[in-house]
Amino acid sequence: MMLSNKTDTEVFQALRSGNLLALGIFYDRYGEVVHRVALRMLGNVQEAEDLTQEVFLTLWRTGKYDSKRGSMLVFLTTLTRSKAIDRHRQIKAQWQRLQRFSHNAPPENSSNLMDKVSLEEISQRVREALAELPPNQKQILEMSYYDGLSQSEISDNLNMPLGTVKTYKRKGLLYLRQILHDLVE
Amino acid sequence: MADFRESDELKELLASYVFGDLTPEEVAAVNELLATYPELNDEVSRLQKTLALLPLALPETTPSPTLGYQILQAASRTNTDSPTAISNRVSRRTKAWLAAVGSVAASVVVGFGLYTYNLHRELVTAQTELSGYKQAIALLRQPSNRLLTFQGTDLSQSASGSLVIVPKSDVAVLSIQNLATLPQGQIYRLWAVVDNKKVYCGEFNPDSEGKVFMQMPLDDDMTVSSQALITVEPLKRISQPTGKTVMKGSISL
Repeated sequence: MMLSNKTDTEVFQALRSGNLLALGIFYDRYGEVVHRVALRMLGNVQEAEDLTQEVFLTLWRTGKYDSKRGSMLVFLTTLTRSKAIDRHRQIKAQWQRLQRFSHNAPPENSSNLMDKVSLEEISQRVREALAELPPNQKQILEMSYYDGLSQSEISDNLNMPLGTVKTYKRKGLLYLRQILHDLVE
Repeated sequence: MADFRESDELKELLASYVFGDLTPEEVAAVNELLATYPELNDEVSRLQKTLALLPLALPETTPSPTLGYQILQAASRTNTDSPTAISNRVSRRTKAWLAAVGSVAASVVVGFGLYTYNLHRELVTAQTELSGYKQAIALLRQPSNRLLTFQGTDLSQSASGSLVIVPKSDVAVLSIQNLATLPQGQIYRLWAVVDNKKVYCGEFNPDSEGKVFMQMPLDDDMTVSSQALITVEPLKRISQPTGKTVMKGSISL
């Protein structure tokens, strides 16, 4: 079977043995998503491509991915976000706060998301799930995730009581988890 | 009494934990809870994954078509931290044989990776990418890199190609030019000749330009064989060639 038809775990084994084609396959599968996150967080096409390259080279050089700890997709989006935060850290102290949950890698789980559903399907599911959230919850989640704003900064920005911000943020995540339950089991 | 593990308060606490919004004292308390009730770790994991899926809702982007190529080029200049040995299924005899050609084959690995990778993309629009192809093809075409050289028989005089063994990737790469397209219901098959027996190695059809570029898992028969044949066969898999031989390959190294 062609390497390109194999599961992420098998392709990763090939990558660990120094197969450059395996890296190309991962780029084909996830390059656009990594770029998507990078562009949203850095806001600049050149920087986003630069970060995308850094993420895939990190995968290539360190080979730290552990399939028992979650899917390649989750690994790469988490890594991208963490590296985007690294780039901002010198500029904005607030990004440090985000480190706490980006370095919190998902614990052991052997399920492989991409073996079940295509990236487009997952993207569509997440978009629909987000669209179901009350607008305030969605906005607060995004301000927190992409812009690295603290709860009190969001509270100031939206002129909303701090307690409400906290509640919306938590409820937003819990609601998403409920809608996307089959993707995160 | 309701199970506190199902309570909304706990779920919200775990959500804040995943966000990193808790005070150090609260974090310590949650860690203690997780140690006492390990099943709660599953919920934490689900929340972390939900959060990691969030950016998929972002609109799709179009990275530069050459980005993948640039990444592979950069990667080819750096090694992984932990290169591992060739797969165990390669026999000792094969290893000896591979050792002899290893240095040559290794030199085409990079070109092979880039070339095949790009074939996968079918997005050969940018000129830079095209020049990447040409470099890779040139690498593969260097006479010293050919392990088995193929020539068309009288039936297929203009066809030529090569089979390159790439031990580092544990694959063999077949590359052919000017091979005629077959009528429906027929396919080309590659056979290694081992001890006068023909052993099936793979099957393929050329593209509209008569080109074939495919990789196959490295097989002992393939590596010990000094001759190979390509025949025209019916689609139905038969263990021996039945059709006409259109190309012959022999070791050229």
